[in-house]
Amino acid sequence: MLSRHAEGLFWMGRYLERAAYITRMLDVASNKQLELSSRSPDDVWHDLLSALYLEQEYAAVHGGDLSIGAINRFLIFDRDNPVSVTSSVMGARTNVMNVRDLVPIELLGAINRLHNRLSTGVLERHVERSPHEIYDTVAGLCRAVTGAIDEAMPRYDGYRFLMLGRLLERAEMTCRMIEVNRTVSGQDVSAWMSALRSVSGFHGFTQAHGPLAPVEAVVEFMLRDTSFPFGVQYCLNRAAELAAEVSGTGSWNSPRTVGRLAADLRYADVPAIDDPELAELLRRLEDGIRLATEELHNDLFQFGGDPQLYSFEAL
Amino acid sequence: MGLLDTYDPDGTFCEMFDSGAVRPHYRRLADRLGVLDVADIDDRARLTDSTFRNLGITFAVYGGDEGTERIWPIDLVPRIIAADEWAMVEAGLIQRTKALNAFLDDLYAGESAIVRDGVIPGWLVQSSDGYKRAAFGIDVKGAARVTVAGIDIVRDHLGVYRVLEDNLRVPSGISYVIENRAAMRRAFPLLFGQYSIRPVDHYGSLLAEALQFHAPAGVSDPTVVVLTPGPFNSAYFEHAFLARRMGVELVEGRDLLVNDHAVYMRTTRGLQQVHVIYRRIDDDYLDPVAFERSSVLGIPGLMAAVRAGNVAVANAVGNGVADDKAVYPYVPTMVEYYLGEQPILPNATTYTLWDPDQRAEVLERLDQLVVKPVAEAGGYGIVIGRSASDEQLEETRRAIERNPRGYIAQEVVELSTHPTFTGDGLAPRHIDVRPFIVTGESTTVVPGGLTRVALREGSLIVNSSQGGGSKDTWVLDPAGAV
Repeated sequence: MLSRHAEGLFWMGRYLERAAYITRMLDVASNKQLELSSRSPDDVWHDLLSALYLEQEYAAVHGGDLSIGAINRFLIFDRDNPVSVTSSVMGARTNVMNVRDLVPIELLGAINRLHNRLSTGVLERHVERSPHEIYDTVAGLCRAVTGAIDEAMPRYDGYRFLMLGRLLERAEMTCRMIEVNRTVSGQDVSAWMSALRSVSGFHGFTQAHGPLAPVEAVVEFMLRDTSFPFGVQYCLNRAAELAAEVSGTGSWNSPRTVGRLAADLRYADVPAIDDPELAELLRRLEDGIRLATEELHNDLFQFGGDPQLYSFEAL
Repeated sequence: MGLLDTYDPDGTFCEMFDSGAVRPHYRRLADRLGVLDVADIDDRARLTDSTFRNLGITFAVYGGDEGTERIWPIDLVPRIIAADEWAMVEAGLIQRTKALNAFLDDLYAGESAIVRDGVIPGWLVQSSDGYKRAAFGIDVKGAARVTVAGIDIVRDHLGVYRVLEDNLRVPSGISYVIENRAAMRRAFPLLFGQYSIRPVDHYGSLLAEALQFHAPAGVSDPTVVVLTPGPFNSAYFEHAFLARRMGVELVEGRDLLVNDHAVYMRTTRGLQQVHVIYRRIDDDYLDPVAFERSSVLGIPGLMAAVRAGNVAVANAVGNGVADDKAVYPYVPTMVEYYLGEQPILPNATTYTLWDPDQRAEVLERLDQLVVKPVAEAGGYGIVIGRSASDEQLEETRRAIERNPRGYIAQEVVELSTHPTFTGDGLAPRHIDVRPFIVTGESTTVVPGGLTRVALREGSLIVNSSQGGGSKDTWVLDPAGAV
């Protein structure tokens, strides 16, 4: 496929995943904030903003206002916030428009519905009183998009690039979620459980480890369980396979980087929550994902790639 | 009360009624409309709009806000053309397209016999913006220069079909023809059972076959691509639509490169040679080496590759000379000159403004005529005398005197009208139609075409960029009922 199309599909996948992930995190955080556990409501929002590296950007717009309305406006509807759900969906839509000849009509329709729903202003009225209306709607429309991908997209390279984008984004977001819970939740089991809930991992975890498992088991599960679709290991293993498949016979750097990252995690010791080594491990993973994205870009999107493959002598 | 009970066709030719009586081929539609009310149509229109919005069936409008995307406007009352009428129009279109192809071949790859024989002045040809020296001497070797034509046809007050203009460069609209049909099938499934309508859905394979026919000699399995300026172009929806229908790549200029007079596209598996480019970019932006140097949309060296015969570009470069409006008055003559036949479809009455006598006459009665710039498309720059202000007329007069070659004047064609949904009932609105003619090994006309409708009361401008709408166009099968 065209290199430009591969890039478009990869970024479409990343943006879609980001939109869905942020919505899930908001949903869980707003529940947690209502529960009034040992931590104050403001702390919940601080955690979320820091997981998304958005604390400073948020303060610049809303100052100290940590009301649920301001949070929802900033994280869902604010087009000037590049990481908001709306911005992410717009990013996905721009990319899908660039590849619209390649994607099934069902996928195009699903992304447009999501985009149109977010931009009409109707949903925005719910930011204060019934934010769950928003979360449910957006999550449902996101699932319609992933359903269209799953059902209507042929398993050609385009699908692989899209999934590669989604998996790398997901792995990175899960790393961030562990990082923020490591620093602020510590040994608070209930905080970790709600983190698990936000990525549909609660049920799988309690089945495997029982209701009384220690916090370390949660971290281990989120990082390394290969049956957990939001787990970092699961995502990296799958991504490594896809990166190898799309590179064909060319000798590329990106599959090696993703593969190395997956192997590094598989054989790593998972340190204790309060061990700075855990932070180090998470940082290594996030850096590795960033490097893999850059290398994909160099391998394909810049049309550099395997010099042998791109030389005229090879034609 | 039925929707048609109070319908009043105004003075001009009405497609549906003939002095009060419904024309035979419209009877079943009239029966159906008789049992519907405004709310029924309204519901269906809303449904269609939301489908179009979700599927992104839109077009971009220039000059408005940045990235203005409008939903494709469709009117749900179909336009119906009887089989025998269509047979005449179809023959006329094929004839005209063949003559235009012969003219272009004569100019670029032949001896310009038509100029030599004094049928059309050489200076008129050479002064056309669409005449491209870069295309001179390029032989398309039996294939067509006009692979896809869109020829705009109107009916005058007597119901006579006339050609209003030829579009031989990058005519657009075919995707909307197909989407309109799909929308109508959802909105009025029952009507489809009552009429035998010729399909339009095969366009993708028709175009693919024609394009493959243009491939360089000796290439058995040619790689075809669609070349687009990108998502910001007003017809991007159509470019993507056609690429998908044909199952070929939709490329931008930056995806292609030329090496040793051959064109390649950059894929994730390396470079792949391209044999036929269905380009939807204007000549001037196609190759910065041959044309506009600042163009970033084009492919440097493309024209050299075309000249070397390693790649075909469709439509061919330089076709603009044949759809130049100052050349348009000569098209019926071309039919006689090249084919030795009488033209089946007449032109609209047109005055040539570089001719001093005709110009003087036109300037006398500017307030009764229509003035069009020769090189514009999409309805831009048209001045309709009777609705123009004195200032506009004065400005037009000065423009004509400054550059008589740059304009033509036409008698106003009182376009036929068609019942059209206005929100609170049916009212007559003016229409035209753009059929699409595809030439590969042979020349084929897609049944019907894009019927455009002027949604404002009394307006004669149907272009979608100027607020026009569209209608599904049904050509009835001669074998089917009515």
